[in-house]
Amino acid sequence: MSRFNDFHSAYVLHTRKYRDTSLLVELFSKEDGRYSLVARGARGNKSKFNLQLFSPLMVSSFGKGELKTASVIESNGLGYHLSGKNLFIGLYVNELLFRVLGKFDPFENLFDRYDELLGMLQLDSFDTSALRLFEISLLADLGYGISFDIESSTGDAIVPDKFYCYVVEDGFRHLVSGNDNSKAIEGRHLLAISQGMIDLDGDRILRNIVRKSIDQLLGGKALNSRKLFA
Amino acid sequence: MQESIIDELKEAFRVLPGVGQKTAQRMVLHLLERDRRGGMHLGQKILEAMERVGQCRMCRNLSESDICAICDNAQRDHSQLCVVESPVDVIAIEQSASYRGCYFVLMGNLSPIDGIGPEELGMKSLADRCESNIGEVILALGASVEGEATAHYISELLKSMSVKVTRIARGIPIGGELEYVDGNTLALALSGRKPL
Repeated sequence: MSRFNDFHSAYVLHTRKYRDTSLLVELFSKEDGRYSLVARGARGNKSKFNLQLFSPLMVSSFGKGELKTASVIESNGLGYHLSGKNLFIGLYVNELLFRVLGKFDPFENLFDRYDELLGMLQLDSFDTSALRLFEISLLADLGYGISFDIESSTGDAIVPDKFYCYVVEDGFRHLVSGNDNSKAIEGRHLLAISQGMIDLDGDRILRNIVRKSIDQLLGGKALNSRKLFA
Repeated sequence: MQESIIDELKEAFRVLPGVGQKTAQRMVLHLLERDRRGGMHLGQKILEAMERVGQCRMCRNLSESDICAICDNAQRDHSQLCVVESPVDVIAIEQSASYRGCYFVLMGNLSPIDGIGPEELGMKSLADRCESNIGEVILALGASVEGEATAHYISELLKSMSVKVTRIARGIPIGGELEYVDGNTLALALSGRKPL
């Protein structure tokens, strides 16, 4: 763990009112992962803290316990302005990180990928395959990496015209009678995904796979932000 | 040791925002030493309010009756619906004396991490309400990311209905000087400019 009174790059994942004028802030920082801090007086008119979501910040804090207290929070560049459906995706990603990341577990690469994803979400032309790749890499960081080109029980390579089904925490298993099974995925889609090529079918397949893995990770407790897309 | 009623009352006062141990003690001692009648009155009114105040069936604002005074007022414009986050926003807009329509109180903003979704905000009853004689829905929500998300959700929800959805303007406060206004607000004020 780095020294907290140093400045850290961070994003706000969530804020909650705390006492009369303060905020309880859930941060995702590059050096220390996710942690909570109290920003005293952050709700007052003369607050020195700028705590908008999706804005890069430099944060220094103090305190010996798990809950830190903010000493300085400064803007570290222009914030990303997300709108419409992309804003919902941003809220979904924040909830996802909030729920799956353990406290003070640093994921520097993940932080950079989050920053990159926000940049893409700012564009109207955002392609959801970028979100899928972010989710897959997040799962891999957490030890739930998925091999898209290997059959999990035999270790054989995935064959384009065979059918497979996804088993959480295991991988893709060959299905003998594939085409009449609703969970069947054709090998060619998996091979395309493994090469980073995600078309509409790949996006749908990945969405289901990621959802299953995340649900498992969260012990079956669904993410609330999914209701926004219903 | 069993807690005395005085200790219990001190603890009870601490449910109020901004009331810590010392303040609670001062309040309790004041009522017991100097204003017993005031204390009885306070207790009685709290009980009455907790029992009688519910939510208006039409706008979800706090109300003693099934339909609140604003929704029940025939003089108001029932074709305009102003969507706000909380009852305190209704009070603020009413004090501005600039609006004669009706309200819909969400009692919060979309906030997935807090478990507040469309259902908790009564989006279904808002959609039902908009099906009957509503011409314009005015979104008067906070200028936060959650407020923005809520506004987007409502505009999508009402897209298929023949109802105009507008949003209150954002910009420079009265008496404000440009140099003290933050960059984001200034950018919004510029993009939302009006011809003179």
